[in-house]
Amino acid sequence: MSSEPDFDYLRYMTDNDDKKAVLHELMTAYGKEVWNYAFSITRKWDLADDITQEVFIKVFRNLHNFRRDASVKTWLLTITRNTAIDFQRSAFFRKVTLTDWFSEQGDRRSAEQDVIERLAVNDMWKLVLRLPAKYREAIILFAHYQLSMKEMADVLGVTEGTVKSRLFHARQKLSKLKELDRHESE
Amino acid sequence: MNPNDQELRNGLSRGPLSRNGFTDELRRKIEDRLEEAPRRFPARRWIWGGTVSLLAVCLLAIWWWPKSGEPELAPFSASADLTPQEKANLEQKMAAERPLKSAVLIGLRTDEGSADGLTGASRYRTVFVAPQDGRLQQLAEGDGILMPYRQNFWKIANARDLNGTETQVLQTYQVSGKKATSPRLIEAPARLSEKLLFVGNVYASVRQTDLSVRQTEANARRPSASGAFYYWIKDIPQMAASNDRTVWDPKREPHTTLQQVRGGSDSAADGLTADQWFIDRQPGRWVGRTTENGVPFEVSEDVVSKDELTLPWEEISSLEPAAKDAFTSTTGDVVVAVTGSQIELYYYRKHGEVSKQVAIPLKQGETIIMMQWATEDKYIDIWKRQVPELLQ
Repeated sequence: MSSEPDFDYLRYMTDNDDKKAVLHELMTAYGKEVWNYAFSITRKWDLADDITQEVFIKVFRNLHNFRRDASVKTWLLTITRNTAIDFQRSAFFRKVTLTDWFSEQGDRRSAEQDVIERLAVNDMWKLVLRLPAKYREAIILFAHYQLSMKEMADVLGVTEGTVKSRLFHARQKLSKLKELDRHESE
Repeated sequence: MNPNDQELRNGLSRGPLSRNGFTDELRRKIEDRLEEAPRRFPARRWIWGGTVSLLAVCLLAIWWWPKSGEPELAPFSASADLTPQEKANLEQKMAAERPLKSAVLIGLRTDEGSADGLTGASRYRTVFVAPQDGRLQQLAEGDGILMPYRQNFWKIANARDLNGTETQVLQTYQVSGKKATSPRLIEAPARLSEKLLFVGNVYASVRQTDLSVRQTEANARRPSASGAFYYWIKDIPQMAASNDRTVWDPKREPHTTLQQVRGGSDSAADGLTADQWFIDRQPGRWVGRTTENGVPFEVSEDVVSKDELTLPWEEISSLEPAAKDAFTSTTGDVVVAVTGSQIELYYYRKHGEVSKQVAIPLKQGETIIMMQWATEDKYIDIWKRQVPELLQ
C-alpha cells in the first residue's frame, strides 16, 4: 500500500458517475488492505469481514464526500478505524468480545491468538499483533501503511507528538516482548 | 535493542496473515448490499415493551410542568405584530432573490421510555445538510451532537464507562483542530443522568437527574425544591470541565447563571437571577425558562444566536400546512419546517419560488435540540470538507 493507485478522479465525482464501477476499482485496489487494517485492530477474522463490508458500503454512499486534500488511502483507513470503533461500541460487539481491544487480557492465550500463531506471515507480525491497541495501530500505520506523521495523526485523531510518543513506546514494548520470548525459549 | 525503521518496514511490508481475508465472497456480499437502504450503524437493539406509550405520557409530563397555565411568547415575529418599518423590511427580504448559500447542522435527541417514565435514556444524532450541485442535500449523519465552536468542531455525546457501556452522562470534546481528542472511557458518577435540552454555538442547556431521588411528576414540577432535577446552562469549557468528575455534586457543577448572561443590573430589574434555568423550544423560537416559575423569556444573542425567522407563520403554513415548528437560515434562503414525522428543508429562492429539497424522517420521540447555520462560502466549504468525516 506504499504507492497509491490513481484515484484522482474521485475528487471530481458527480452523482452521474458510475459509483458501482468506482467502488469495484476501489475494492480491487484497497479491499485487502482495508481488511488487513480491520483485522489488525480487532484481531478477529469475522469482525474484520463485517467491518470491511460496512466500510465499503459507507464509501459507496459517500463517494462524493471525498476530501480533496486527503489521500484515498488515509480516507479509507480513517473510515475503517471509525467503523471498528462503532463495532466496538455496539452492544453485540461488547457482549461477544468485551475483553478485547480496549480491555486486552495480556498474555492469556485465546482462539484469536491461535489463529495469529498459525497464520501470521512472520515473527514481527506476531509480536506487533500482541501489542496493546494504541501502540499496535501506530506501528502498523507507520511500518505497513507507511503513512507520514501527519497522516497518522489524522487517522488516529491525535496530535503528531502523540503519534511519535506512541511509536517510541511501541518500539520499546516490541523489544521487551522479543526479550521475553527469547527467555521463554531458553 | 529497539527495532529500527528498516526492520519494522521489512517485517511488516506484507499483510499480517498468510491468507487473504478480502475474498471474492466478501466482495460479492458487499456488492449485494449496495442497494440496501442506508441504516445507522451500529444497529441498536431497542427494547420496546407494551409500556412505551405509558412512558411517553410520563415523559411528556416532565415537559408540561413549566408550560401549563403560563403565558407563552408569541410564536413568531408574525407580520401582524410588526411595526410598519419591520413589515416593509420583511416584505423586502421575502421578495429578494437569494442564491443558495446555507448549510446546517441539525442536532436531534431521541428519548426512550424507562420503567418509571422519568429517567428514560436519550440518544443523539446530528444531520448535516448543505448545498451540493445547486441544491440542498443531506451529506452526512452520525451519532452524538457535532457542533461548531470557535474555529473547530466539538462533539457532545453520551460517554462510555470503563466497560465500554454507553452511559447517560455527557462527554464534551474537541474533534477537529490541533487539540482534537477521541472520546474517553469514564468512571461515570453514581446516581447521575444527564440530558441535553439545547445546543447553541457557545452554550448548551443540560438537565441532570439525581437517580437516588424518587422521580415523581410532583418532583418534576418543582425541580429546585425536590432535589431530583437540576437545570444548567453551561458554556463549552464548562461542559468539558465536567468530563473528568467521578463524583457528582450538584453544588459544584460548573454553570452560567442567568445574571452572568444578562448582566447584573438588567437581571435584577425583572427578578430573573436564577442559578438554574434552561432553554426550551416554542414554535418558531428558543426561549429561556427558570426553574422558579417556568415563565418563558427572551434569551440574549449570546446564548441563542441567529434565531430570527425571516418568514411570517402564514408563509410557512402555506409551504407545509402540517408544520408545527420552523427555522430559517439567517440569509433567508433555507426554510426548515418541522412536522410531527419529519424535518423538511426548502430552498426559498424568493417569494413564490420555493422548492422542497430534503426531508429527514423523525424517529418516535425525537426532537430538535440544535440548529447551527453556516452562510458564508468559506465556512460552508470547511463544513463540507470536515463534517462528513467527523460524523462517520
